[in-house]
Amino acid sequence: MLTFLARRTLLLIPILFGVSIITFLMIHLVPGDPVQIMLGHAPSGTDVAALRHQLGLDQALPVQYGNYVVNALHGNLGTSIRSGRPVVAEIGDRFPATLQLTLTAMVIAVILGVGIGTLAATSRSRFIDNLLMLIATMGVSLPTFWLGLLLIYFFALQLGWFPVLSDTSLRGLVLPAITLALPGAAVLARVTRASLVDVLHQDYIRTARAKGLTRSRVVWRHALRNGLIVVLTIAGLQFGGLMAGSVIVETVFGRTGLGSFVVNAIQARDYPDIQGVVLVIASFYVVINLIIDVLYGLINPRIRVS
Amino acid sequence: MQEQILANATAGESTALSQPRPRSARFLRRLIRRPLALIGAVIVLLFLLTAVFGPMLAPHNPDYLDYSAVLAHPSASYPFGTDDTGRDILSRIIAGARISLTVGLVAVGTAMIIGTLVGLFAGYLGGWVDQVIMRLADVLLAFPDILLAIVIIAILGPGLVNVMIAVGVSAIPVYVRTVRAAVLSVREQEFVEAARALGASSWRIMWSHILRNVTAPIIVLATLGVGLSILTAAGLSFLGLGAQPPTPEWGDMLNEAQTYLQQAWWMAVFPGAAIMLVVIGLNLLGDGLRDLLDPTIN
Repeated sequence: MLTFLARRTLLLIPILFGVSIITFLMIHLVPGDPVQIMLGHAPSGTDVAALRHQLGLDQALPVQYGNYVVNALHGNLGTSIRSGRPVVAEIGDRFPATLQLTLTAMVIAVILGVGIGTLAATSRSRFIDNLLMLIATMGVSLPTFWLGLLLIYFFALQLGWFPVLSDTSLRGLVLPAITLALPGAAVLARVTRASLVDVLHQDYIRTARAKGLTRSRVVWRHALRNGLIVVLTIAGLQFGGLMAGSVIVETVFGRTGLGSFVVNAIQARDYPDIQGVVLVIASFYVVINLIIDVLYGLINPRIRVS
Repeated sequence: MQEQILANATAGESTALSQPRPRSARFLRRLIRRPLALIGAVIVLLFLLTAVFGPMLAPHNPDYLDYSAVLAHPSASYPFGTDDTGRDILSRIIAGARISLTVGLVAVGTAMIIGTLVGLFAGYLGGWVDQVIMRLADVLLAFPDILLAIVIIAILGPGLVNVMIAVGVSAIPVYVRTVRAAVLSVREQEFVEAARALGASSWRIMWSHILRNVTAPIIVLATLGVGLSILTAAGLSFLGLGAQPPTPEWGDMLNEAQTYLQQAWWMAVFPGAAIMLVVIGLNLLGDGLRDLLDPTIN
């Protein structure tokens, strides 16, 4: 198990290395002069030179990258051009809100997705199975920005149950979390169903039924336990997707967070901010995937060997 | 000649031995027997026709500002109502079909071609070429969903063409990975070995023997990919990073609808429904194709 853990962790290094190169290169890949673009219309020569120096863009590329990595490892992601504050502080202010939204959405997605998927897989009626999967396909196809607007219209504007603009209260979290969760729940429902149907056809399930266990006991104790291994993997992958999806949901609900922050940063061409958020979300995603991989190995010993 | 017969005989369903009915017709018949896939195909076809014949179908000019009918309710002359400048929502949705489908098809088409070629090379050549390509794909896949597209938009700047590039580039790694995996499973099979023994060149083996065996997963991925690309592109336009006003783009229309949500629900409901409907169609069709083309299911 330890070698498995060590090997998986080592695999992380080249990926994080690659992620850091891509975020670093972002500013260098900008067509034209990024400094002039950031400063907007007709900046003075001294301003351009000053910002170029501040961003370290007047140094050789490998030196710049070296500095970037060393600084990042020390928790320094540069200075926000708009606010003049450290990017890490800007991110730190908004990260909890995004994490809160993502985690809540994740919980909703798992409960709803596994529930619907199990219902579809174990339903003896082909009609219910097909209907639930059609609903899941609709859920996968839902644009979150549209769903968000519809929920605001019905539950905030018409019924007045929730605030129109999401605030930090629990009530303000409900609509954004549901919006973010539904497409993810739909994916999980499809995966859960497929994986359960697979497991339910295996010999040991038939044995369990043959020895007289009730249907529900077989589903809950035998099938779901094995079927959920696949679901766990997909749920882990979803976490990163939900975090990225917060970009849209936070904007719809006017919520503060990393997502709305990066959208504003792109519109203002504030590259240090953009690079910081991208680096944080991608690294977070990579680490989550590692944790899922390890959990997977813990549950399923066969994985460890290969 | 010998080689040609071999290729035909080994490519699964051979033309020389098959029934008189052509493959495509049989395939269509099987597709029609799946109601959901058929519904998907019909939806996709309707949107494609709308995209092609849009200007002839639209009841109004999508850019015409009718100041006598600002924020008008849905009615006989404006079935989906009008927006804050009196433009006909239905006509704008019809015009938007062409934009969204073009973005989806061009982005996925480009990603598919580049991804397939790169995946073929990686899988067939192996060695360090494979290692470098796959590590690069791993890194790109380390960016969840929309984030990679956002990185590319941040580099290139907002705009519809840049969204197309962003969505296309971020779709490439999936094709690389899928095609490479398929190549690895096909590469060592007897018919490829036989072709090699007969003196076929690497390029020829890749092109005529391996590629036709990986087309099924690519077609399924691409169908589902167009839907996903349309969603992502509309999302980016909604964020103000894609199509800019006054382009009749569905995502951008929803962005404008936000301000008038209280007064004019129709500004938000119909463009979003159009996005969802076309994506549902593509997903149903893609699922159906997967069930038909993948013999391991069923």
